[in-house]
Amino acid sequence: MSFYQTALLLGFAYGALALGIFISMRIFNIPDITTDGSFTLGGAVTAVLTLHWMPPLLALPVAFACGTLAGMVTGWIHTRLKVNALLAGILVTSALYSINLAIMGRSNLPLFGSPTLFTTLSLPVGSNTNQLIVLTSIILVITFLIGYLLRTDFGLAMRATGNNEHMIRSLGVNTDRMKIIGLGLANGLTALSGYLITNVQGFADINMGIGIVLLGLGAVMIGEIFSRAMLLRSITGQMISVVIGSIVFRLLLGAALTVGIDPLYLKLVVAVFVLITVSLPNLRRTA
Amino acid sequence: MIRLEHIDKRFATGTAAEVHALRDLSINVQEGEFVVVLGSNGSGKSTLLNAIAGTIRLDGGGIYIDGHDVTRLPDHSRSRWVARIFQNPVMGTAPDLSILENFRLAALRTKTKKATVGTSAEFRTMVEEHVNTVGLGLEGKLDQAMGTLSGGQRQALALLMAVMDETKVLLLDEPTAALDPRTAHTVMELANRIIQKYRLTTLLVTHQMKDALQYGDRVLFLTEGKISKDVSGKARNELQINDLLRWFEV
Repeated sequence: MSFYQTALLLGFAYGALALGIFISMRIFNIPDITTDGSFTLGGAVTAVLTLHWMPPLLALPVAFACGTLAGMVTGWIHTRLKVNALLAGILVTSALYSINLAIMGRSNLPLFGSPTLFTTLSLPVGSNTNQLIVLTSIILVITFLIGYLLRTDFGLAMRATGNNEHMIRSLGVNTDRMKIIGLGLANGLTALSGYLITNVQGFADINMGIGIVLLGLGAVMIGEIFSRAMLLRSITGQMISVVIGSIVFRLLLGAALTVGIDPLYLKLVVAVFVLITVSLPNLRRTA
Repeated sequence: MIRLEHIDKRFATGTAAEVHALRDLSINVQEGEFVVVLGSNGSGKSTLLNAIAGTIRLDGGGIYIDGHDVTRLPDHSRSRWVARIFQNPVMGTAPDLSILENFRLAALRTKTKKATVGTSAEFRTMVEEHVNTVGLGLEGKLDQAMGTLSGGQRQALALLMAVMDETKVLLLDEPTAALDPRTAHTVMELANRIIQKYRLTTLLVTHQMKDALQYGDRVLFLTEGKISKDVSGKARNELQINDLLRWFEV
């Protein structure tokens, strides 16, 4: 598989994660790091179900639902128990580490010969092209579904919740409930990303989610640079930009590996990269 | 329309910084009445408005709106009757949403927000007509983000948004405090027009003595969480600025 193909594949698979981060951090303005746990949760659930011969297309909604539940727990802790959002996310992620281990039974679970998403949805093309078509279709469907949702009256209320809580409460929206739903949706997408990655790489691992929130954040920020440059202001346009951001981020990481950076340092590279993207506008201002 | 019975509110209870913001305050506001609330800083004016809107919980007493006991209802449930205009123009609208989307949400203040697209061509025409009535120069700009507008424009739109859905009670918390004198005048005139047109029961908190005489048909003066003056009818019409200023001196 070529360098570009890998980047595209992983870019799409992590695209769902990036959309999840876009919803929690940008739409709802909540720094949610349940992500690390719910991503692995999606992978763990997928691996176990696949090994028990559950049709992969059925495992998809189950993984999504599990992630949604995890996000709603964070949302509930944050809104009803008034715990800081970061702490609520850390609590749930930490708890999920044990839960994920319990689900998998051990720390690494290969899918072996079980039917995966790509053996189920198999077009008469090469396996790489097939993976690409399947992943692209799934991400496109998700992007347009959520793009539609965010344009509905309910979606407007969601966006207003993160944008101006005072206003939307005075317009009759229970913002606590809205945040719980929003974090649920965000983490459902994150778990879906875990599902896709598990299908792509053929195994789930207890550590697959470590630091994953930064991958999503990096993608969202590249996407924002892109949507600003392209003047994409519609919500669907912004979401497509986020997916493109995810692919570009994979290309950059791929390039970093090709120039000879030890894969051991990949997380360091990601952290530095996100730091630069976050701080660049501020550095320019002080200069 | 609004009945407050012995409402009581303390902040920072039991500490040295305890503030008794509302003391056993009772009042009855008739339907269609336009009440101007005056008082020094810290006299409890904003607390009174927040208590009616439901953003703070009372320590005692009861609140009734349109015959319903709303004492225990959270703010987002009271939106069935109450529309609010905030002191800070930024607080009444969502900056990243378009003008049209802000109006859509306002049009659903008393209803559920369903998962269907409501910003239809028909709705757009309706909002366009509504916005055009005030001549803010926003014709054909409904897709512009609310955050790109000036404070005065946002406050004026917030007023229009308040009557997009059925409204019984309008609460205005120093709506012009952040605006320049000319814009403040325009916004108050618009508010008054809307209040008269829709016959809204209104509470206006203000520090502008001129506004207190020019608008409304009843004046309340709050002192340390209590109503110390309540003037309406003929006496209200005979009030002079000097009378109001004297209230502050006591």
